[in-house]
Amino acid sequence: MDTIPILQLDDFLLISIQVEMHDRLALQLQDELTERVVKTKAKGVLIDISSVETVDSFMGRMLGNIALMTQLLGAETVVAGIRPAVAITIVELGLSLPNVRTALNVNSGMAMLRQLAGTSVGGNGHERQPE
Amino acid sequence: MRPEDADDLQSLPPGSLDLGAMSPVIFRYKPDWGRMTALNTINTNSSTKKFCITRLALEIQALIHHHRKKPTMPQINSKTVEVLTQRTKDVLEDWLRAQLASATLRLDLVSENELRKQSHDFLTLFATACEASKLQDINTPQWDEAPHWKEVREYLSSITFSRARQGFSSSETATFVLSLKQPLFSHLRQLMNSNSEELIETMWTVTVLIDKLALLSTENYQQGREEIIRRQQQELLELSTPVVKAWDGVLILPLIGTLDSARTQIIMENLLQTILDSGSALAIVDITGVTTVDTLVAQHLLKTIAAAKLMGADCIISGIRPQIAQTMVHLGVGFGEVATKASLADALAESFKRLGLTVGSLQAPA
Repeated sequence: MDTIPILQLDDFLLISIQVEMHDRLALQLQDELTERVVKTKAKGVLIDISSVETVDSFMGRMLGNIALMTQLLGAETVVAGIRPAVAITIVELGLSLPNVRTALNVNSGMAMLRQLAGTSVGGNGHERQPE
Repeated sequence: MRPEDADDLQSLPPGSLDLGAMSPVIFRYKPDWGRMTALNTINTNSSTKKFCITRLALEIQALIHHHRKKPTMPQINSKTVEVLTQRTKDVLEDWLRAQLASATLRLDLVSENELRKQSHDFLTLFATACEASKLQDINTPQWDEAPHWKEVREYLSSITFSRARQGFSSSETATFVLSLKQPLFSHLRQLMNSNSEELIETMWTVTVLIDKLALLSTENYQQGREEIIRRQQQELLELSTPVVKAWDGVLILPLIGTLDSARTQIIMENLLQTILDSGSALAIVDITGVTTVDTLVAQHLLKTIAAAKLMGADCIISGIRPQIAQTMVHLGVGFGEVATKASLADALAESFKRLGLTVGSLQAPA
C-alpha cells in the first residue's frame, strides 16, 4: 500500500508526489496533511509534483482542495515543479487553480513560502536559498 | 442454356421481327414465350396481341444482342500482352516520341535520359502485370489489391510524387501515362487489322486500364502537393515561434502573424519547455507583430499565460498598439489580471524592477 510521506522542514511541510494518485490515496493525503498542519502549526505547505507526468481533472481538483483546506488552517500552499505537459493539460481542462501558488521548482517554492510567512532564515528575504 | 441455342439465335438477323422465323428457337428455348407466340394464332382482341408481339420482339432482340458472339476476353488480352511483350522496344520508342512531342513536356525539369528510364521501367512493369493478370481483373474491386498491379501503381506513384515535388502541373504529370494510349493503340491496330470488333473491345479494355492509372496518377499528384503544403506549414510554425532569453530569468516571446489554436499549442509548448530549461521566473509576451486581437486570440494568449503561471513564471504582455487597444476595448476583450505594457522596453524595465535590478549609466551625469 502506497503512502505519501509528509516531511517537516522548519515551519513548513514538504510533500513530494511520486506515485500515481488515485481517490483513496488523495483522501488519505488530505486527512494526514490537515492533521499535520494543525499539529505542527505549519505556516506553509509545499507540494512537489515534478515526477507527475499526467494529470486528470481529479488530480487538479485535489490540488485546489488541499490549497483551500490549508488556507483555512492558516497555511499557504505552493505547488512546485509542474511539467509543461501537465500545465497544458490543466489549462485545457479549464482548471485555473486560483488558490494555488506555483513555483518552478522546490527551491523557488521554499523561497516563496518563506517570503509569504514573513520569515527570513539565514537570508535577507530575497528568493535565495541560504548559503 | 445450351450452346446450340446461342448459335441459333446468332443465326437470326438482328432486329428481325419475323416471328415465324424465330418461333422454332423460341419454342425450344423458352416455352412460356412460345405460349405468348401462340396468342398470334388464337382469337384474342388485337391490342393484347399487338402488345404481346411487341414485347416478345423486344425480349428476343435483347437475347440476340446478349448472345451475339463476342470475342472472348483471353483473346483480347493475349493480343495486348503480345503487343507489350514482343513489341516492347517499338512501343517504348513510339511512346517516348509521343511524350517528347507533347506540349506538356518539361525538359527543364526532367532530362530525356531520365524520361527514357522512367518510361522503360514503367512499361516493363506494365507488361509484366498485363501478362500475369491476363487483364481479367481490371474492372473488379480486386484490382486494387492485385500484387502485380501493386508494383505498377507503386512505381507510378513514385514518379508522380517526384514530379509533384519538381513542380510539374497535374496535367503534365498525368500525360506520362495517358500518352501511352496512342502508341499502344496503333500497335494493336496493326496486329488486329482484320477484326475491327475485336480491336474495339481491346481498345476499350486498354482505355479503361490506362484511365485508371491516369486517375491514380492525378490523385497521387494531389497527395504529393498536399504533403508539400503540410510540411511547409509545419516549418512555418516552427520558424515563427522563437523564445528569446533577454536576461537571466527573463524570457521574451515575440509573436508574429495570427494566432490559431494549432499555433498556440506549439507556442505554449515552446514557452513552457524554455521556462523549464532556463528556470526563468518572468516571460514577456510581445504581440507587436500580431495583426488582430479578437476574443479568440485573447483566449489563446490567456491560456498560454495561465500555463506559464502554473509552471511558476509570471507573464507580461507587451507591444499592444494604440489601434489594437481601441479594438480590444470596443470588442470587450481584456487580459484580466495579466500585466500589460505598451512597449517591449517598458516590459523589460518592469521585469528588471521585479527582479530587483537597476540599469544605470556607467558615466555619472556631469
